[in-house]
Amino acid sequence: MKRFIFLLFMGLSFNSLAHDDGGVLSEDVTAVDYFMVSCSADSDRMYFRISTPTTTPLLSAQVMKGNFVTNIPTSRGGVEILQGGGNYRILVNKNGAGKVGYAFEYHCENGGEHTETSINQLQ
Amino acid sequence: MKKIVQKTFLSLIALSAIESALALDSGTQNLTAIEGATDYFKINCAGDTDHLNFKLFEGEANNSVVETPAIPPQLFNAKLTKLKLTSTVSAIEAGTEKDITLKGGNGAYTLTLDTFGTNLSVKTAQTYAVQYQCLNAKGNVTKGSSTLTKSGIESVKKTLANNKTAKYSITCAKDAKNGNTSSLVVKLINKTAVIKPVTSSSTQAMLSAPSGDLTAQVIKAATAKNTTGVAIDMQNGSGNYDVLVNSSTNKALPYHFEYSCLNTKNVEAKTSPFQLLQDQ
Repeated sequence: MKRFIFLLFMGLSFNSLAHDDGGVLSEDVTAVDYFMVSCSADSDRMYFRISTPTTTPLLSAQVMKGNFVTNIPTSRGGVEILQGGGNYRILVNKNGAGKVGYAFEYHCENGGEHTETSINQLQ
Repeated sequence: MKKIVQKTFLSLIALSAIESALALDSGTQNLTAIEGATDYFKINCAGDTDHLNFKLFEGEANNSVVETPAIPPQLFNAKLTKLKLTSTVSAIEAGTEKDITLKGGNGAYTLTLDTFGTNLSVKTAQTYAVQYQCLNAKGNVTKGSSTLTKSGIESVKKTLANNKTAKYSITCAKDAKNGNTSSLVVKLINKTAVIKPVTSSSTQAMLSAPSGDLTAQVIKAATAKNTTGVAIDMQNGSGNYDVLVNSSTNKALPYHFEYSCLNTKNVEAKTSPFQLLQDQ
């Protein structure tokens, strides 16, 4: 419910076609939200961008696939992760204590075309 | 990131976060400032692992060989006197020996020993032995006697505490064959065990309070934890744990990490060296 309310606050919708999601990280610095995005086999990349209205602590996401990882702080903007189809793991965390709400956008793509995309929150 | 140091501590180290004694593995890396830079490690925990303990430090590990300073010497000083004649020898350090000679002819000599200059923090009494000979002008042996020992024979081992003195009388006399004594030669042997500097190797992270520039994530299966420097326990049994290190401020930073696979009693299970999967 917190996630839903926060997304409304961010002006985002739960429309699966829009491929937006988000949540609220709890106070503790050890807090991590953990998602799995599945891109269909015809995908060649995943697009990802995370944002927050909070300035501190700094919020970052890590996107992993196989032995590849990239760190995406909110300041980095949208990132094209060219790792093909399959499962992308996404971690969301922060560099200090404090409750932080966030939203992220993700799309599996092939060139400029969206491909089949699904998400599952693991933690 | 070009330098990798991977160390296994075989010694037992006490960690504040872990009360029990445990073995640690550790690593030192440099994170670059390239956009999105993340170092990626895999740690395998085997045996009866209950959880992985992981700690991140900003800054480099200080791998150093520490040599304790040599303890100032334990030493003897010796003085030979006969009437107004005196000869001295000083600073006979542990494990060494020195000769002292006095040309005093026939008669009674006094040998005085003291420990002036010894490190008084060392409470152990020093040990020594004495050997002497009375000689004529040509260096031939004449008659000598003392309650300490026979002429030419090393005495039994004696002890002398700090700030104490020991005195012995040695008498030289005319020898039927070699004539009158010209001098007395005394060899003082400091038999005190030499205290050697202790050399040890230690690895210490140059600890600094977490600035928040560096973060690490520990992941296993569907669970993950984040840290900026606080030790974290990821309780997820044996198997592979993923560790990511990155900077939310995109800074180039050296860092050090320590980890240990522990069982439910916080005792080391089986910790393997980490595997570096991505080095940025």
